[in-house]
Amino acid sequence: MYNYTEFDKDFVRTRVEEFRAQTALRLSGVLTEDEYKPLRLQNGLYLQLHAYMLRIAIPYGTLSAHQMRGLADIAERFDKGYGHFTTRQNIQFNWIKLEEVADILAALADVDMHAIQTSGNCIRNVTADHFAGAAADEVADPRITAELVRQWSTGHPEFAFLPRKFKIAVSGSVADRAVIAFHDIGVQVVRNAAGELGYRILVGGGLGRTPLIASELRAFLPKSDLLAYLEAVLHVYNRLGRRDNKYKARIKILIQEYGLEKAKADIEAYFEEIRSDVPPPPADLMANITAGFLAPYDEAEAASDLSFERKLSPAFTSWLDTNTHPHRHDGHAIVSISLKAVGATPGDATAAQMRALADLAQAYGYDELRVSHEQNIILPHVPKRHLPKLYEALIKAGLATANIGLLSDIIACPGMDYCALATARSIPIAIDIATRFDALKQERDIGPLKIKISGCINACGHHHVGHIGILGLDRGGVENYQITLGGDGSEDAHIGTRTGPGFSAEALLPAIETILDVYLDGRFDSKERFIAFYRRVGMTPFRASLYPAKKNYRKKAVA
Amino acid sequence: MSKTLNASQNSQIITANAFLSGDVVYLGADESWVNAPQDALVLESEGVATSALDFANALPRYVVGAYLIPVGLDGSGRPLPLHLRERIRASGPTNYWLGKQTESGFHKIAGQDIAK
Repeated sequence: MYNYTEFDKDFVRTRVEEFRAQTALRLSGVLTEDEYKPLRLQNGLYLQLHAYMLRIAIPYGTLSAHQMRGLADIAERFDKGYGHFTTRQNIQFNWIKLEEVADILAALADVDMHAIQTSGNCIRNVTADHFAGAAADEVADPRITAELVRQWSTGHPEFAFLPRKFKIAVSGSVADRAVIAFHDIGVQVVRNAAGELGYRILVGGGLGRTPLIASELRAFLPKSDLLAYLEAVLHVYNRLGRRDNKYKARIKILIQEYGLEKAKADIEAYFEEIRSDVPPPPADLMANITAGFLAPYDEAEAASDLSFERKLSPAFTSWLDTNTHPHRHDGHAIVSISLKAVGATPGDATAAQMRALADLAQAYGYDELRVSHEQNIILPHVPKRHLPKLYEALIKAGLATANIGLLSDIIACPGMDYCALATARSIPIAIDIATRFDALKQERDIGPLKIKISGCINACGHHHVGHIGILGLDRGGVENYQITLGGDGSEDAHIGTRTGPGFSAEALLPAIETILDVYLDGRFDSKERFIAFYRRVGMTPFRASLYPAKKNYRKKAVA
Repeated sequence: MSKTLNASQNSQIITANAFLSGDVVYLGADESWVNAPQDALVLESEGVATSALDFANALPRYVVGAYLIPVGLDGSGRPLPLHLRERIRASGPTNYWLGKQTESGFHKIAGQDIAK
């Protein structure tokens, strides 16, 4: 993974001292709260329902065992012993004191981490495929590009005060595990007919109040043009994006209101203007970045189909089936560690669990971990011969839940339990669903299913792209949940469709059961996944079961 | 929301966060800040509420993020937040035993049926 240079270390440390000084100016009254607020936001510090919340950047979801231990230490020293991994590959701590933030940032700097630009109207954490560098279908490791974009966007003076937040994601394969179609800019690494590496550039995707699938700006952008092109997009957005209405300020709205062709023309014109002025990144900088992403795994590891071990243990087989993914090297596997144990808050990890994850990465996974946007932890490179021991160790650590990609692998935002913006709770809903279906023992039979829950219309739980999406709203002061079906955050991008009127908290679980009954009764066979079934039959059978028609006797009598 | 609450239509209190610690606080009598909504000063009219909010917003070194919340009154005339989010803010999250609900002297908020 990327190794900080002295410049990087200095940058992060200077930022800590800058924030310390800004806080002192705020305390002494030199800065008003209105002046201070954007500064603290750009250091990841929110004011939330119970306390300050700090969002720490985990660039493209990649961190070392040492860094994970650093996060565990912060959880214990400065928070209440746990953290929450988010849908943008970051980590959040919910019980932070402002008076300790500079010390927290210093502790982060000690492990080459920071909270820079994780909030505020600036370019946020650049996310990428959590299987980067390991997946067999990869054209190239998207993290090299993501790291370049991270360096370009961090502290970029022109884009420090954008109309609104700006999110960039990078995928290295056709299969989109980074949800690029729903980002402000999506970057897909591709090869042209001549075999040259370049980028497909998408723009204007997003979720929130106005979910939109991104449009393609360029089918192929030569590699050397990336930064100039991104400059052009951001420059146009910065100039034309709305600043009068917070809810209409994202680039997706600009594209919609201004028009894609017009926006593209402006972008291409500015790109041509600046292209020769934006030099390619210096060779030594690129060499340092590239060096960080050389394959760390040992190609001498022998391939294995683990047939012997599978015969010994059905539980191990079950875990292999759900929690491992083929690696580009046949002697390794990609291991996903679920943070969705039945009864647990999705995406949360205690300090002890973080240390266990770090130890396991060190012992079995070349020291490297990833955070996925689905709020799980990945060990991207595990020699297959280590899998039985790893599995045993995960069981001991309480991290062996074999549910990756299944019903109980639910994505949920913190919701009204933590978030001042929320209109309903999401965590108890996630726990109820997981608990209920654990009791029914139906999860495996149901098969791959993505349930995503948001506690308000801002959609941090990504409900729009859930196969089953749940949106928690406030109806006369009482929590009420709308269900959407058919969302998809992959390269087959779809925004979910609302089933109809919402459900109370009590009625929601039976509604989910009804939806799954429709699926189980109607599918061709167990190979037809829920999302394929929905695409085949549509919303009608679901609506019919969820909202049975009431007989209207009055009409009958008149007729 | 319990129907035994005396809900004066205009009853409000002010909540904010202590600037340095981030702790949730409520505006009490005599310009003090208290930890629980039951101890907060009830603001009966819009005019009084607005003045109190202006006061809260003029103390950036002490509190931030002040806002008004509607309350009902219990039998003793003490204010209780009406909205579930404010009851959660006053108690702590419902997924973990954390926050104000763990502190000694905490009084459970009436009408708070959040147990599942």
